[in-house]
Amino acid sequence: MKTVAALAKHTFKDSLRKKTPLVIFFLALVLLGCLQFLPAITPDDRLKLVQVVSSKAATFFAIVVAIFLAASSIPVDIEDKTIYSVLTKPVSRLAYILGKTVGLILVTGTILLLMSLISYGVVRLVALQAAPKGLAEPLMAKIPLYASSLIHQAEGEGAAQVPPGEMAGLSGSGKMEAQWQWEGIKISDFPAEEIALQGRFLVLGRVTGGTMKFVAINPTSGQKEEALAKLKPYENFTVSFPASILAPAGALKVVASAEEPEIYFGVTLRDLFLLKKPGSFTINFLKSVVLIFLQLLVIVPIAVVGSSFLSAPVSVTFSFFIYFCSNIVELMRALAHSLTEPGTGVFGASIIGHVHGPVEIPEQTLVVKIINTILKYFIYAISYILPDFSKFAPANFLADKIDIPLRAILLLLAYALLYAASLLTVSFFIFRRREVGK
Amino acid sequence: MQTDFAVETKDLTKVYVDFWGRPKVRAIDRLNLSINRGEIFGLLGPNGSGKTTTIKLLLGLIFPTAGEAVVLGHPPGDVATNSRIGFLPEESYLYRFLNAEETLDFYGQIFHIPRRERKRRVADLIETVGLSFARKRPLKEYSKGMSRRIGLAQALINDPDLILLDEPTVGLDPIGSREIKDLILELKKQGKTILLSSHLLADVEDVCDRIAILDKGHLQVVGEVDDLLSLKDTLEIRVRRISPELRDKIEALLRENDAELVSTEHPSRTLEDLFLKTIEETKSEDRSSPG
Ligand SMILES: Nc1ncnc2c1ncn2[C@@H]1O[C@H](COP(=O)(O)OP(=O)(O)OP(=O)(O)O)[C@@H](O)[C@H]1O
Ligand SMILES: [Mg+2]
Repeated sequence: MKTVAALAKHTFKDSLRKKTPLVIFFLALVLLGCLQFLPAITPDDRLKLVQVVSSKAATFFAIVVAIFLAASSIPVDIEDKTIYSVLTKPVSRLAYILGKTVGLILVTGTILLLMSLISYGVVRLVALQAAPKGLAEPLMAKIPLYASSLIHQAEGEGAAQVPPGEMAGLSGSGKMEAQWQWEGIKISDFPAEEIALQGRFLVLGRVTGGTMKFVAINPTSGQKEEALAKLKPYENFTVSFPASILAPAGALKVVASAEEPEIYFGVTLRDLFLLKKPGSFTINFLKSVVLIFLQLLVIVPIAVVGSSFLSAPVSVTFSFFIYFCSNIVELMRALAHSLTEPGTGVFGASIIGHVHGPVEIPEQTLVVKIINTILKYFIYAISYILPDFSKFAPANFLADKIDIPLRAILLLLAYALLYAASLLTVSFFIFRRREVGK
Repeated sequence: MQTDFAVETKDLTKVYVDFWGRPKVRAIDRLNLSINRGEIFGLLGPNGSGKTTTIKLLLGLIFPTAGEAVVLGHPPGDVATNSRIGFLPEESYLYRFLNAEETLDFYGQIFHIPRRERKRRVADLIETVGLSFARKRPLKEYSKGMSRRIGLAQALINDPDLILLDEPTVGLDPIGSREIKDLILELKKQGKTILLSSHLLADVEDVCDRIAILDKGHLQVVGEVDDLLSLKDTLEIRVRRISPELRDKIEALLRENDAELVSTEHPSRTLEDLFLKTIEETKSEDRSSPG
């Protein structure tokens, strides 16, 4: 343990003295400086942009530093033969790997922290500029309360529960309704005068969007409140109700229906939520930094695995490739899923164009089917082995001013630690039998 | 393999392979060596004869193709045993951005030497290897000889029982080389076992108790230095105040007795002697002259 600490401290010191982190740190500085001049239509949009860009830039730079340092760490030690004077001392190979990893996570974590401090300053500054232009609370963290169930009802059909993640359609012509139900509401969690609902639905039919009617019902008191909202595609909307609707506390229903016949809305359980009293922006920002740090917790061990058997350039490439794939896990699964569908997949896709009338999609032949099936499960397997980095991305939370739930952070922490532990085990077993004297 | 030796190898063989696992070089071939505790053992051989390979095998930096080695009673690379070993690599490969003190302090930490003791030892060692003047300079600025010295210091940080030195005097000036040789002899006095490799025969001759000569991975000769170097049937007589007549008489006597006269030059001191003496003299003059 002491050995690991000594090695970690040493790795930290050595990495900082090599100045590589500083170069990228300055690059980040320049970029964040440029942010000041980004054009944006409204002050709010500008603030959003600054937050998204700085969060993504910080992630990117931290990851790049992490990959370069970690992926080259062991090969460089072997190349420089500095490893001779370490492994001939009472340092087990496991301690060596752990020391390196911990040290590198600390280095990249420190760099991330410095970049985040700059980001924070820039965001505060932009917010200050935005405030006089009529933006009441430019920086905050909205805390959403999601409904426990969503029920869809169309005239002539029965009511049906919409499972989480699935979408139900609401069209103005079909007399359809969607009903979100909340339970266990505490009045003290909400603002005193007004409560707000925020959401974003799929809007089809007209580019300028359409109107939706919301009716809030307290099932205990029977109180009903109505509100209309103009919904535009890809944009958040909010509707407000008097806070009295919450009393007596406990349950709340919100029924939504489309007002115009030509508009179609797609809704899911988590597309609409109640807004609790807002939380602190600073804490939310810190949480976003923690999320990025969790990415480092996974990417450093990935690069260390690479570096335990590859040369430095190959290992860097390998790590970037894995990182790239880990960001498109969902896409990989979608691709894998489509592989065995008729008309798609390797060798199976045929050009269908300039044909009028019904098109016949050719079935895949047996050989093609086998190849595609193997490929399908291969991609599936990889997509499940890889960590899903899109889960760790905080930029959207910041942009939408939504509080990052603590539960999610803890879950991701557990997930990251599990990954790191298994990766380091793999790394140890590879490195254990590696000849380090060239 | 039970053993009383500090180091013992049995049919130790190392074949370097290429990326595809095809054999490339047979660097060490069935090497059998035993090194006694407390002796200075010299590993000699021309370039590429397998000296460094042998040392790396003994340290577990590379793994043998066949055969085995026992170091201080344990297989090479054993973590606990490593705390009793000191190693000076062929070239000093240390962290370039650390200075001498930081370097030694780091290695001291690895051995869990308590802070206070570590500080004392670091200072002592820097003094011993003569780097006091450069103790705060990063190693990347060190000259070759200075690197060698700090390398030696890091090998001694844990007060090891077994010291492996791969060409310890290479790159050192004659004084430095003399100092290191004296240090090696001093370490032996403290009861340590030392294995050193070199192709500088003079070095080996000066300090080693026993030597082995390797050639192309094969052990050619092994034995006590005195035995190997003394020519029992050769006698060197040095005479002062010799007259030409006496010299003729001796030569005649030798011819009569069927002995071959090899050379009759007057013995000269070696270049090393001369150099050392000169430097030593200028040093003492410097000290005595005022200012
Ligand atoms: N990593 C390696 N890969 C392939 N061959 C190697 C490797 N290291 C050493 N060799 C070969 O093994 C043989 C012995 O090398 P080694 O370094 O042990 O020699 P040495 O006696 O230490 O020589 P020197 O006096 O030059 O230091 C040489 O032929 C060398 O080319
Ligand atoms: Mg050598």
